[in-house]
Amino acid sequence: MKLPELKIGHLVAKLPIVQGGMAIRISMAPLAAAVANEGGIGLIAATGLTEEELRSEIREARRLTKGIIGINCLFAARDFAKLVQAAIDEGIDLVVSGAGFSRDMFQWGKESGTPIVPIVSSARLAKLAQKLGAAAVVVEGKEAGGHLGTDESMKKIVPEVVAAVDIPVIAAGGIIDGHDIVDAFKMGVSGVQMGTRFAASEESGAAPEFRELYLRSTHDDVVLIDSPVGLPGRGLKNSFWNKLNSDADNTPKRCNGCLKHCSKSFCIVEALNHAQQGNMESGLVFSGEHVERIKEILPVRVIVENLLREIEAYS
Amino acid sequence: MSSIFEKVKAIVVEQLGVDEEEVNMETSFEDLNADSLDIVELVMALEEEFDIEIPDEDAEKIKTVGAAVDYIKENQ
Repeated sequence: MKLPELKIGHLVAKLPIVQGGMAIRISMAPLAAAVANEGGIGLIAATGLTEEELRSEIREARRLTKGIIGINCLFAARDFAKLVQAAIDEGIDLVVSGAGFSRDMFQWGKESGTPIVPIVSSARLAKLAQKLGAAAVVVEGKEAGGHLGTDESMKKIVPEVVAAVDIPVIAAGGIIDGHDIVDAFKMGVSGVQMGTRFAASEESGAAPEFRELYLRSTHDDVVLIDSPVGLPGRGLKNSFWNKLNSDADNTPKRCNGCLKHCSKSFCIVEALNHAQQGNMESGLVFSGEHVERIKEILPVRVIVENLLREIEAYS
Repeated sequence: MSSIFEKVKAIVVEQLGVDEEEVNMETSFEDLNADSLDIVELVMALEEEFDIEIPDEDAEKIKTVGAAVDYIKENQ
């Protein structure tokens, strides 16, 4: 099959693939720009960055590509409004947001002409998003990495959302290769979002140790953790995961109140930062469910070439 | 003219599908088994009924029927 263009508001992506926003500092300017240069949509993960860092990352991405660059921001972050407004001020092409539901962001999008794309996990929320003015929705199933809004499979939720809304639907969760993409398009989606495959790219912001864990992990290494955000999160077994499941006291020694609500069972920002930097003793490595199918760290250009070849061969 | 409480009560009953007897000023939406999406829809219905805008930050603080009534009184 030939993949159609992905239209979100006034934006047209030649390649209907969105690179999922991966915090903290996994999807930064180099990764987002590389995906945008292939004709897809690159997302800078804003969560966990300062406003200045986000602004400079957006400018760096603009220097590296003329393609479509968006941000992803966690609604549960205390700085959510500040970060999204800073990105809009920098002229970001679109805003993707999950882990809670903001109504204000639709107003900011309307005022600035920025397409707003919420991540949803049910037809009910997708309908509400459409009513509020969403330009598209990302439908994320349980197979996704990081914070999850559902325990249901992407393949169950996507057809329900496609039937419920008129705006473009982007499928996310467990999409690794060209077969997965064709299967998603057969369900009537307009695009797909892929995170894990791009976290294991040369342009990813993750440390070598992080990416090596991806290549080493088997299906049994993929686990759910209780994130202090108040949602389950999908990640990989490592030393830190063992520590979380022991009697050790992991409560934060310092706290700057970065989340609107936090259980303080451990500091998720510190754990994600450490993973990104390669410290597996104290780092939490988020990953999608099908990580074991990734065999190689590749440049984004080659990842996209492989996907297109697989799509052609499969259909 | 019905009071703000009576109007809020009617919206809560309709949106959450609960009995009128369950709703008084002290009732929290959690007690009525409302999930986060129910609350978003409820807040939107209140905005429409009372012609006000409730930003995210304020909406997050409205956890009881009484809090909703007070907010509407202060902002109408």
